Amino acid sequence: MASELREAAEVSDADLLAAHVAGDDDAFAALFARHRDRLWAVALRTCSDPETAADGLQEGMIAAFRRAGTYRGEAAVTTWLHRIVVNACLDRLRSAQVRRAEPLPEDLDEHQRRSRQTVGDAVDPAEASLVLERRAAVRSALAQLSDDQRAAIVLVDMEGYSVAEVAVILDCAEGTVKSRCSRGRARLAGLLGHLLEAAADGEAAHVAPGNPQGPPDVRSTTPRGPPAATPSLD
Amino acid sequence: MTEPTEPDAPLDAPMDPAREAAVRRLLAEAGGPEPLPDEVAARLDAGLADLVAERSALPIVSHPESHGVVVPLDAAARRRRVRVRVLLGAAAAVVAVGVGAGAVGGGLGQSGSDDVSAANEMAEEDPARSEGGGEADDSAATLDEGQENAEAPEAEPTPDAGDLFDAPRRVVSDGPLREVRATQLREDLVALQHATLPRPTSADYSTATLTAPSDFRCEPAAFGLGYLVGVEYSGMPAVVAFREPVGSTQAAEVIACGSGDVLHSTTLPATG
Repeated sequence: MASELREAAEVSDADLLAAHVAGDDDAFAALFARHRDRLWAVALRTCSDPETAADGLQEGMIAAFRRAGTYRGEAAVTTWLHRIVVNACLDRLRSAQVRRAEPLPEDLDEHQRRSRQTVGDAVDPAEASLVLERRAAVRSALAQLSDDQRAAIVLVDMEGYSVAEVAVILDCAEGTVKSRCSRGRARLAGLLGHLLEAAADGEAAHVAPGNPQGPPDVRSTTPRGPPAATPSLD
Repeated sequence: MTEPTEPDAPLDAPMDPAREAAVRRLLAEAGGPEPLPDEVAARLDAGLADLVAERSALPIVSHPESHGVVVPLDAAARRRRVRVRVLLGAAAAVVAVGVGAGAVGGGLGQSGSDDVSAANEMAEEDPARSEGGGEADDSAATLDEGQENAEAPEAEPTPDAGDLFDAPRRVVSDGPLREVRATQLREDLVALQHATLPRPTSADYSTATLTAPSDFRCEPAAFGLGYLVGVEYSGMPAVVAFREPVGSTQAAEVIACGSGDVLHSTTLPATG
C-alpha cells in the first residue's frame, strides 16, 4: 500500500497519516514532504533564527511521527502538523529564553537572502532590491514582537491561515488570535513607519505617474494661523 | 507617522484600517513559501530514516498460535528483547554445537535444544505488549531469568516462553473492531463492557489483558492494568481500559495509542 499511496497525488493527508499509523513506513515521509517547506517557513519566522527553527521543525516532525495515533480528525492534518511544529518552536524559544529585543541574527538575514533570491527574478533589479530590503525590515520588526504575537501574525498575515485555524494551531480562542494580531500589527506599524510612508508615497506617485510632487490635495488653500484680525466692534 | 505602540498597550484606539492594511501587505509580501535549505532537509531526512528504522525493527505481526495482538514493543522492551534474542541465539549456537558433538559422540539429548529453539522462536515472534503498570519491570525480571538460563545451556531448560512474554495477556476477538463514538460514549462503552468483559466471578484485574481483532495495530503506551479492549475512536485505533470495579461501579478510559493520553474517562455500573 505504501508505494501506491505515496505515488497517488489524490491521496489525502488524512489517508497518509492513517496509513502511517497502520504501519506504512513510507506514508509519513510522503505526508511530511508535502508540507515541510511551509512548515519550515512558519518555523523560521516564528523562531527568527534558522538553527532554532531547524531544531523546532525536527522536534515537531519526531513528535508528529510518534504521536500520529492521537490525531482525531477534528482539524485538518496540516493544521495539526502546524500546531505541533509551532508549539515545538515556541517551547524552544521559551526554554532558551530568547530575548526578543535582540537584533535579528545576521545568519537569518543571510539565509533569507539566499533562499529568497528568486524574488527579483522577474522584476526590475532595483525593485527587487527594495523588496528584499522591505522583507528584511519586516523580519527585523517581527523579531521584536512577543513570541505569541509573532506566531499569530506569521500564521495569519504571512501564511494566510484563517483566524479559526490559527486558534486551533495555537490552542487559544479566536478572540485571542485577533487580539494578538491587532496588537502586533499596531506595534509593527510603529516599527515599520518608514516603509509605510514610502509605500504611501509610492502609491500616490503610481496614481499620477510623472506628475510633479505638489502639495497634498487635502491641504487647505487658506493660510493657517490665527484668524485675521476682526474689525473692532467699537 | 504613528508613534510606536507598546506591545501590551490596550487597544483603546483601533488602528487606522488603511494603515493596518498597509502593514498586512508588507507582511504578506514577506511571507509565502520558504524553500527548505539542503542542510536542514538532509537533517530531517536522516531523522525520519531513524524513526522509520526504529519502528521497522518492531515486529507488528500477530503470532497466530499465541493469539497475539499487534502492539509494537516500547523502546525499553525492545532493548530487553534484543538482548534476550542475542543471548538465546548464542545459547542456541552452543546447543547446536553440543548436538553436533553429541551426534558425533552419539550422546546428547534433544530436549535442551528444543526448549531453546522454542524460546528463541518465541523471542522472534513474540507479539508485542503494552507497558501497563509495573508489568514492564516484571517482565524485565523474567527476561533476566531467561537470560541466565540461556547463558547456561547445561542448566534447566529455558522456562516456558509463555512465562517470558505473558504480560499483558492477549486475546484475539472474533468480531470486527468496535467503534467508540464520542457522541455516544457511554452507550458504546456499556455495550463494549457487556460484550467483552468476563464474568465478574472469574475476572482478574491484577494483570492487563488486551482483547482485539488480530489485525488491530496500536502504538505502545502506558495503558495500565485491567481489561483492555482495542477499539476505533474518531477513525483512529485506541484502547478502552476497564479498571477493577469498586463497589458497584467501574471506571472506563479511552486511551490513545502511542501517547497514552486519556481521551475520555467515565464511570459505569459494574457488570453483574
